[in-house]
Amino acid sequence: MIWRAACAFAFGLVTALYARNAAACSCGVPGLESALTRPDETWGVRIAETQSFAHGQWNARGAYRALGAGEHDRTFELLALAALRPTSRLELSVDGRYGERSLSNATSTAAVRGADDLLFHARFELLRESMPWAPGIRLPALALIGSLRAPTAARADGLSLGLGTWEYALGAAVEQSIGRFRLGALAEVADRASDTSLGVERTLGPRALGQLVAWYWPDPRLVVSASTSLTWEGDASVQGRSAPGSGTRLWLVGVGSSFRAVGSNVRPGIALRYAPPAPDVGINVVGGAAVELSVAYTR
Amino acid sequence: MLGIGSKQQAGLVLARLCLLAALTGCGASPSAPRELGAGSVLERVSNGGLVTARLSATAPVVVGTNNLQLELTPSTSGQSVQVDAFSALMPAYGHSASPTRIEPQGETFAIDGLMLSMSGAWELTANLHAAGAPDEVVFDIDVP
Repeated sequence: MIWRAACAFAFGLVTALYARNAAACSCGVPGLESALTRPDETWGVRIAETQSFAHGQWNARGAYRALGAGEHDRTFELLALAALRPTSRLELSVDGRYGERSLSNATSTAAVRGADDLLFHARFELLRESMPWAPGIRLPALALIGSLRAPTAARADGLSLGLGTWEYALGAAVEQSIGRFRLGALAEVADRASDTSLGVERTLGPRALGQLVAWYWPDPRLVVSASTSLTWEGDASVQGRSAPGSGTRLWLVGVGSSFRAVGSNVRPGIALRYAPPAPDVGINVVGGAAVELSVAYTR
Repeated sequence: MLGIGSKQQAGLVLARLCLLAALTGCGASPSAPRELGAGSVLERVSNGGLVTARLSATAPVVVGTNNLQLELTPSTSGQSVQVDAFSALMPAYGHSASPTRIEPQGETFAIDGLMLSMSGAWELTANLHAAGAPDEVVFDIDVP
């Protein structure tokens, strides 16, 4: 009930007095690992367009190299997400993407276009946040997160849009409201199945993600957010042999915002993500900036 | 409603997940592969032990198109050695590449036109035959 009331406030459904004590839920802020629907809603859809532009790459020792003249690495992606909330505590969702990645360097170009991997998500709100006036220690909201990635992505020119294998992820997110602010932390670990999508047996290393997020509601209809995340992947193995130094690490910072008019079911949003181009920050990754525009409809 | 014991257990699980994520974000792997610069040589014994392979480049291996030299010395002198295929793989992303030409020049093979699309760890594999038996040799390199 507390979670539901907090969400309702964010969109103008409770009093301004209550707003100063328990801001809102983080539902639907684009670019973040949050639920699409509020606990009082039953379903929702979201479409988004993302454009990514690389500024450089980190090698296996963390040395950064800025892309040179004539080099580019661009990705354009369309996303469609559908979410269902069979109970107020559980949200199930699936998202599909269609995109294109093109890159060029001094001597060649390559591109791949088509479907990306299909992702299934489940988010269960295990604990709801304590009421601000409740006696004792205020407990944050706690959600358990699971996801399954299916290897449906296109592959061409030696490039792939997706992972090329099944991935199973489990995680947890905590969120706590402080006045008009809300703070969140998320941790997720994932395991990947062996695959032969490259013509040889390959096993990707495990993946871990940590993310910190802060939300702020300057107005009950508008939420802005700032986030930072660190993603790590262990070394892969090929034909049973570990490929040393093939693991990855990526640090991202981001900001986002979404707006929902009082009484409306439509929520447009924007999110920006950026990988700071500092040495030793990334390993075996492309660094860049991405902008995501989205529209969600929930009820 | 969950009892306090369940809440504490949930907190412990979360703390462990956070700790794992934090710890795994530490520095580059100490076993990260070397760059292959101009004039430098990487030497490996093939998986089957049939040949010793030396990989070199006259120009540093970089993102883009590269030309390499692969010298194969059979473990038993006088045996014939043949390169059947040469491939490059970035296992973390599924990037792959093959050379446009493999040209035998005595015990050395010119591997030309190998397009590496990204900085980072690549695995280069030569599939070969030595004295009629199949074998392979794998080099790990870091592309700057």
